[in-house]
Amino acid sequence: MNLGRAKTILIIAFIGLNLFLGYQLFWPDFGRLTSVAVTTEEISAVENLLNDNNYYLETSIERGIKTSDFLKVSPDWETLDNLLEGYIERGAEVESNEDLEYYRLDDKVAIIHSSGLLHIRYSPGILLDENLYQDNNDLDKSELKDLAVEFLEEENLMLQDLIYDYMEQENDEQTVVFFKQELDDKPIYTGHFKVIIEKDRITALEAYWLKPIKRIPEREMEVIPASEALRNLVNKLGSSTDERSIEEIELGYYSEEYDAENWEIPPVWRIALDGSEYYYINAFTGNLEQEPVIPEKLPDDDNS
Amino acid sequence: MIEHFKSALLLLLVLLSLVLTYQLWYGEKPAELTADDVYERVVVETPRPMENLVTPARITAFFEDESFLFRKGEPVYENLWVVLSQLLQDLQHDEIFAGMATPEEDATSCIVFYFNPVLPVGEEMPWFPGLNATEIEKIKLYCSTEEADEDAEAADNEEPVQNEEPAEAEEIEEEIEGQEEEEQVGEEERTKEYWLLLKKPGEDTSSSIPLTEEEAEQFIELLSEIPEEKGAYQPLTEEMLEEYFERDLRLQDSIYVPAGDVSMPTLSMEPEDPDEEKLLKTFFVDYNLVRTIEEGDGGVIYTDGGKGLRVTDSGLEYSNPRKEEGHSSVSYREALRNSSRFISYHGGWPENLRLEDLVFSSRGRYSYYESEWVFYHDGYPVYVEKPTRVHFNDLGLFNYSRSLFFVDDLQKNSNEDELAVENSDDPEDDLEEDDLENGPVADWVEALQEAIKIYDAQSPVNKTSLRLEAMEPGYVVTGTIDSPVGKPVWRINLEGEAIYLSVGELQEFGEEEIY
Repeated sequence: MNLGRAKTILIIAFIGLNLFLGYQLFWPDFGRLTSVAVTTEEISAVENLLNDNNYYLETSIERGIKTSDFLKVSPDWETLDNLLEGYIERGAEVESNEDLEYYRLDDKVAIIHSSGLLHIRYSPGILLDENLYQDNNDLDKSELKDLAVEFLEEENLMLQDLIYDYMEQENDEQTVVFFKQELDDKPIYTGHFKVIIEKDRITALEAYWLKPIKRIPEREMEVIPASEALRNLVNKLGSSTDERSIEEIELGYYSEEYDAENWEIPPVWRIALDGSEYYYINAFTGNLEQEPVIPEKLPDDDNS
Repeated sequence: MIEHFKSALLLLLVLLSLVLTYQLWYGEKPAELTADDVYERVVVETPRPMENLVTPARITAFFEDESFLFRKGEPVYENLWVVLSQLLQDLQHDEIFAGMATPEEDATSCIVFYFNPVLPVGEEMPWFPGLNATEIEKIKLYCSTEEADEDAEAADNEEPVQNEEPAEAEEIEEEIEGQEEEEQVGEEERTKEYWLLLKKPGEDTSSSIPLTEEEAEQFIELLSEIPEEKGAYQPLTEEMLEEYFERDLRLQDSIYVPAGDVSMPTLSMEPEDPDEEKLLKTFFVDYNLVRTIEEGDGGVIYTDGGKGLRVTDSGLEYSNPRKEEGHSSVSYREALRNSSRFISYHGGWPENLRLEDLVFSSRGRYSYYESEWVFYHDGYPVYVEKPTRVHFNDLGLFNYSRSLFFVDDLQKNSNEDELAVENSDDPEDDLEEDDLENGPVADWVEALQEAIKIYDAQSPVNKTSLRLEAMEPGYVVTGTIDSPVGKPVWRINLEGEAIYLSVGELQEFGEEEIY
């Protein structure tokens, strides 16, 4: 038999075999690569729904199909201990009661809650850069953010996976700068730092840092599209009397802070209203993650 | 040249096919396309029939001049209920609630069945199915008086008159006829009478049904099976309370307390060990969406963000806040069926677990049913800190707590045969043996005096008159979670407050001491 002919036949046969294997292996994902989770019609429909209820979309909606998994975490006691090491080395006075531990050092008091939440109070506060600061209303957000980052670096609190999140003006005198935790470019909203600035001083810091134990790839599933998350939120909140803008919709991880050894965090769509109000829609169930559902108390016995 | 290209291409295709085959065989599976299509069939207990669901709260009996109290878990109780339940199913409709046949004035109340929750009868129920739906809270079996019985017995024992001398055939015939007549009279005298009195809730009068001797004898025979060790009880009366206490005490309900010396053992208990995975599947339709929270004390919380289930060493608690905001429009009967369904479905219905209460409640604009379940051991209720309770409305189950402790196998065996640890040299075993010994139960007067003292010390207002709602011996589960024990207690309810006192020393058990 002609060798060249045999090679041709084998090439054809292997091309066929590889097509078959490729089909078996990738077909579902092929479909997902070529399609989108959110069609343009769906985006229009959602925008109409939002507008009808006085919400206005001022950000883009991700249209691709996304998957996610649960993330198992625990309070990061190791990082917390490292942060407090400096206090102890400098002779901090330590007190504790059932749920709280106090570290008093000069003009600072660090309080650790049993959940792992760290709260540091500075009295009378750390003065911001005098040259830069005259009235914090005069500073723009980027300057305040830079000051907060600078403060964290000076205090040795600027952790590797900590990134700036947003800023909230509580009142004329108080601004809070929020930082969030990240893991592989995915935000973990539960892990956060809050730098509290009052007038010309940083007066407090709240830190809650999580240790990612493991991702659970065997429970990886497709998440609901962002458009569905928006629908669910509007259904939950109802119509707004004032115009409200939706400025961000982002996929990350979020759960309540639990006083627990470890727990699994679900993926969520975080939706920002007016840049200061945040809602978390469970990206698997579509439910709003809000009040704890942990059984605590039975209804009052108010027999009729 | 072309042949070289063909060879290279072929080699490439062969390698690619190997890689693809490996990937297909060993590679990771793609993610589930959707998160909400994972359902699994769960095999759970079938809800029990109404006869098992509504059972008497207690049965009191007056037998051989003594009063007895029977509760769930005692053989006599179970048998009496089976007989009554069957009788209520067999009785003819026209005999029911006729109210015509009333017991004699001096007839005694032989057996009383108290129902809480009340017994539903009539439509769709096994009892009196042909009647309109109604409820019964008390059923009394009335027997003709002892005097009547004694007369009947005396008549029974009378020897027929015998003539010493033989008589003529006619005379003999007349004598035989006379004797037969006397025997018939004797039989009439001997016939006992029985009535069943049915009392509806909120009504002062009762409806009565006459029973045949055959029907009634089934109950009396069961009373003859009362074990010898079963101690007698006595009903508390206002007069008794006046005699022993200076304080004005009012009885809210009929209360029976042990009449003589009673002893109760400390029980070695073990917490219920449910099949956690199965339990999880009954609460979460798609448990792939459930995440876990491991608490520091060993408890595990499962939640999907909408509802939560906490499983600890001593039980479980479930909450679904979204369903709290609902109404309950179902009837009492349907609520009973739901209670049976929920308890069977979520964890199962162990033996001697009794539906203790079913109440309709409301909170603001919302309404719901609450059912409470109590486990009994040998007729004594076993109390825990968080009773097994189910809250539900038309939207379904929204709150559920379940904490059950059972007498462990060692204790069960020791009751039949002496303790296995009896011959052991291990001091720990000796301790266990001592702990598990029977202890005397303090007299009800002392127990009530102590309870009043505790109530007065805790109450901000000094009340001159107190309402005594309940008083009974039972068990509380205490000790450590590794070796929980059932300590015998007096449970005394004064003015809505439950006070638990150890039966021997009359020491109060605080809530923190009870599991």
